[in-house]
Amino acid sequence: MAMRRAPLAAAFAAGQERSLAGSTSNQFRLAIKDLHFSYANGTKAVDGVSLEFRKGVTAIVGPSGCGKSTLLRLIAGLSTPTEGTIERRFASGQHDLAMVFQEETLLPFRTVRNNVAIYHKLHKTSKAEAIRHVEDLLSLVGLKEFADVYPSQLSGGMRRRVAFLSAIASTPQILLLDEPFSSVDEPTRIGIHQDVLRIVREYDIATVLVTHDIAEAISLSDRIVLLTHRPSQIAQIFEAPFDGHREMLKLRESHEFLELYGQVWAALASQISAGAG
Amino acid sequence: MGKGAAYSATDSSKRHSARVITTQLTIILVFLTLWQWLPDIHWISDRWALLNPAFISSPSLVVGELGRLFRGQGGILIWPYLKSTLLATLIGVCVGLALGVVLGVLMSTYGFLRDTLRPFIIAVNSLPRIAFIPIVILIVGPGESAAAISSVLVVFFIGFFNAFVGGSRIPAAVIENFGLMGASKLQELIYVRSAYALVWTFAAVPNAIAFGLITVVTTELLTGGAGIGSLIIQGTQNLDATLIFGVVVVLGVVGMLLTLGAEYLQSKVARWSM
Repeated sequence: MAMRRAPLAAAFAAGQERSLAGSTSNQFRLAIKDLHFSYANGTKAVDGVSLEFRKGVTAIVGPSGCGKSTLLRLIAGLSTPTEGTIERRFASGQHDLAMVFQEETLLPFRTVRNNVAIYHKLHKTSKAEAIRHVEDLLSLVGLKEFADVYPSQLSGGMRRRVAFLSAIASTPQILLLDEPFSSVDEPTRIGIHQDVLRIVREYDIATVLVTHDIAEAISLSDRIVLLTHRPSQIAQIFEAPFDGHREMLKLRESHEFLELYGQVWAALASQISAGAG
Repeated sequence: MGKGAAYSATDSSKRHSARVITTQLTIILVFLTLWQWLPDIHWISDRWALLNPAFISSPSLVVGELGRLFRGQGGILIWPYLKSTLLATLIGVCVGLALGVVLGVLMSTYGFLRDTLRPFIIAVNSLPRIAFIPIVILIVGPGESAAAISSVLVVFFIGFFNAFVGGSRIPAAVIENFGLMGASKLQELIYVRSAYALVWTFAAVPNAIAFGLITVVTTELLTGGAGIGSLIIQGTQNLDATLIFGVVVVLGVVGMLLTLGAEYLQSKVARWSM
């Protein structure tokens, strides 16, 4: 862990400088108020959700099809709410928002290095700075030796890591994760969780994670927002009693983890039952 | 154990390749033998007019004719004809694909353009494009440019449809991700749509070459002015099946070499798909 701090600091040094020079972090604000959303066919997906997001990781869980991903798309601005407001205020001089999608978004004809460098390419960062930043990012998750291979030559877990790096290459103020690790096997996923948590914590990226995996939600987040069955409302909010430096492999054995898992599961089960009824 | 398995897989692959090549050579040998000797068996060639040597010539005569064509003996030197056909084909393939890709990418990117032009494209595509050749000949005359322009017209649609499909089938999340990264519409067009379109277009290059060559030869057959097609007309007019078969063999080899060249380039450019 200690060995990885150095490249992490280097990787985000440029972003930190931009952030500090531009403004202070307390300018960040993301809040949704009485949000409603209906699909084109009239089906109501979100029914009056209000929530203020804060620094750290917020996980959103709920029954399958309850509108978790729809809520995330509304926050990202990829869908427009039927009613309600989304307040997004960002510090200037730093990229506002990035998202890791459930689907593959890596460009198959670009190498790992060039996929991670896309943001710099789009924003015409100096070549030297872009190369250095991408190298540092790849080192963070142990993918430096795979820099010149194509996504099709990587395992599923590696591709997810590259997609994550590609998103945080912009050093965003908000990172939205839409079930990004659901296709990855459990041991690999836990490894990715460790990397993701370390990076978003140290760089202070406000993160919203949508997941159907309660263990993933508890492992990564500071609070877990449980949605009702569709149309979704907030059913309950749980606070995770863990600090930022979590050992993912050991965390799942802890009493606190198991107790919280039981609570969230019981609440989710009652929502599933209510939806079925 | 692992090494043993690897060796066995390699050996099996080598055995497979050897069997394939042996079978291919056998097919060619049997075909040439039958072509050479069947017409000489009179009770067979008398029953089937198709086997009349006047219609189908023979491999030995065709080989002799090829020798004469490439050395210029017998009054015909094939190189200028070949050059004319190849040039028209290359112009047709390159210009046709380039124009097709540009329109395909633009239409896959801009909804207004797509919705406006779609019925026209469908209408033109449903026409037999070979019917344009006489119109092209009427407009530009029966020279090399008629063959090249006709080839452009045919290849254009291959390039266009591949680029359009490639540019349209990009996963929505890829485009949305680019938008969230702050990409402009122009950057989306350059870094995503064009790249996907080119990948699809590359896959269609062997087809484009085949259709380009067919169109050029068809135009030459109609005009009789220049190129390999005019040699076929000459063979037809002189009832010279050997010349026609010789020219067809040359065309086959040229088409195969162009396609293999395109596939080689494809493997070099599209390393990511390996």
